Amino acid sequence: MKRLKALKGSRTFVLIILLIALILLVGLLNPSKFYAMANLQSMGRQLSEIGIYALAMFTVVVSGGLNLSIVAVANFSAICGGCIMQGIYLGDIIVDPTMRLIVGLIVSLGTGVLSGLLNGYFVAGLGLTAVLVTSATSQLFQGMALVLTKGNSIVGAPEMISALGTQNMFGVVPYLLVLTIVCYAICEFIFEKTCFGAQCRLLGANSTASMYSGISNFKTLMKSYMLSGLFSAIAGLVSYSRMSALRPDYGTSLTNNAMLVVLMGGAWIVAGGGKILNIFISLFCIQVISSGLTLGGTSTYTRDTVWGLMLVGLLVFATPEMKGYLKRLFHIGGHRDLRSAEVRK
Amino acid sequence: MGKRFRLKEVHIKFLLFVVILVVFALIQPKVFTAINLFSMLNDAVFTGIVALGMMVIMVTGNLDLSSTSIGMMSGYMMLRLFQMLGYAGDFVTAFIVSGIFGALLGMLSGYLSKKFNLSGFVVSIGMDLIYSSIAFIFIDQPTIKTAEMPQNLLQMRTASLLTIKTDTGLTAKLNIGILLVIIVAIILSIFLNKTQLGRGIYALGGDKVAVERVGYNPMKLTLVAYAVFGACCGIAATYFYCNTGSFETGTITSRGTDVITAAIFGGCNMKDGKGSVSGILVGVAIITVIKSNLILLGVPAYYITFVVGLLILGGVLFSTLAERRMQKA
Repeated sequence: MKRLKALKGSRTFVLIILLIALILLVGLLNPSKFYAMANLQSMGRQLSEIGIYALAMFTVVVSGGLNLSIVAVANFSAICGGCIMQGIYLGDIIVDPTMRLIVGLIVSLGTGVLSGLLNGYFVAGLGLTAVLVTSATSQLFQGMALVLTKGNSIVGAPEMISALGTQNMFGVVPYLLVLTIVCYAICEFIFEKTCFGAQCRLLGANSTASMYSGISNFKTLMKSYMLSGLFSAIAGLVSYSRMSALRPDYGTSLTNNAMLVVLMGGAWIVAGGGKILNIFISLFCIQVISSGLTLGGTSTYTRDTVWGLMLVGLLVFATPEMKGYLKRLFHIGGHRDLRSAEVRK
Repeated sequence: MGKRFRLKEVHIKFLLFVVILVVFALIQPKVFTAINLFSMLNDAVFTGIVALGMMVIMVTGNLDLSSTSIGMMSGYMMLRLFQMLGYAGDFVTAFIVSGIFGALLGMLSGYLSKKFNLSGFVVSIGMDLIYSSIAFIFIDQPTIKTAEMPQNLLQMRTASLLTIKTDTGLTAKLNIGILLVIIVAIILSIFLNKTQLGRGIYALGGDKVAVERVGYNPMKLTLVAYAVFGACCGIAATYFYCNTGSFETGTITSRGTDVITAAIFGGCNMKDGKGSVSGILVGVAIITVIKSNLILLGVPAYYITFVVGLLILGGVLFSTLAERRMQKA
């Protein structure tokens, strides 16, 4: 009961209400299409892509940075791994398809981690601005992907990979959704239970305080960028499995969606914070809105405007001044916070 | 007594530019023909004007990703306004109107980020999405064809400053646009270095608290900086659309990266609020020479993104490391 009471008025509570409202609203507008099993499953697959990108973004945002290179890293690492899986690279040496799959997976995840290492070194080691570095490396990795594929897309995927993107567990739940939930569970563990997670949060909240409390900011930042690279690589594999094709310039707008999810989940961009559970719920919200817009037959212009308005709106409404104003306006728990703090004492 | 000449970052970068140009010319003699040189100069106009505007933002310690969409939106609004009024148009009015539209759009981003104390960069990502799409929600066909453009504005395409007939019978034309860059550069240089407001903008990037103590209004400074930036974007986009003779939504959006590359290569540093007009001009020269000659040199088109990425990273590294060396010395 205590836990339930604590839930009321928190961000998680608001997000759950919002999600239910959105599902009802979009469902009412397109009842036959929205609740169809095929639509729900395809939503689950799209959601996993944005969701893992959001994790890649979150791991950096929580430590007070911003990573604009997630999509480029994902495409690049998927191309590195995918070409090995299909035997385009090293085809003569590794002949066994299973072996190719395993090596491809390792190479793709390894590329992700290495790219994170590069980003991390520039940001943490040399002290350059995260935004500039990651937008530069974004160009760099996209450029490398373009060079590797000569600007074309490579069609085809091993059976295992394409099955991951199209099949469902027990015929109902898409495998990709399961993968996403596993990734979120791992992240929840890392950021709630481990020492590294706490260090990340402290670094995001106040880097000077973190330094004086004996934490190596360099190591923490490096780790968080590497983790971000790893999740980017997983997201790249997810995209690969969904399309069964490798495209060097795929999904550039996904960075914005990932940022939106992270922001909605309560992580302050460039200032850290945020909870995995909230991000998970806001992921569903964003996906429902996205599907609603697609089902409504809106143009790309409308969608872009909606995302832009949401991004700016969320930023503005997350500011302390605006929060105070809203609380006074709706009489939401203006003094309750104070009281509960007293009770806890 | 004249000032003692000291080798600054700008000089090193100018040397770099000359070296790149000479090396390219040695590899491929076609680089050094009048046609190619003029086409490079024409190409640099858009990037140059927007990068000059971007410099003002970076000097205040911010970064804005919405430059091209501000330009697109204000250019589009200007063209539609002229169409509605049935006005055949002349250059000066077109530049002023689109400049005002751009300034207003820029000020909106600036106001939001300053008022709520948000990172201007993240706000600009959202505003970029809004500006680049909101005008076209209810319009099926967002293009403006050459026949529908205000006719007088199309003269921009043929207005040339200098025409040279080459031996092969082709004519190389230097478009009048390069004058526009020079005018904007001179105005900005005077504004930033000689006026009180301009010095305030530099100070804002240096120390936000000190600026307030001295008696400047930070909000006003931010708005002015963003207005200058927006106006530059609007003017550059109007030049671009007049020069190409039609409006399409996606034509200038891909140039956003060039602008930031030029600004970074020009020695702009958003961390300490540094940047200068001469630096920007050199930065634009470098990025233009490299980007427009790679194809001529026989480099496949798909290498360009990679090269640009390397350039930005190199620029960021170079500026920061040079800075540190100077601080140590």
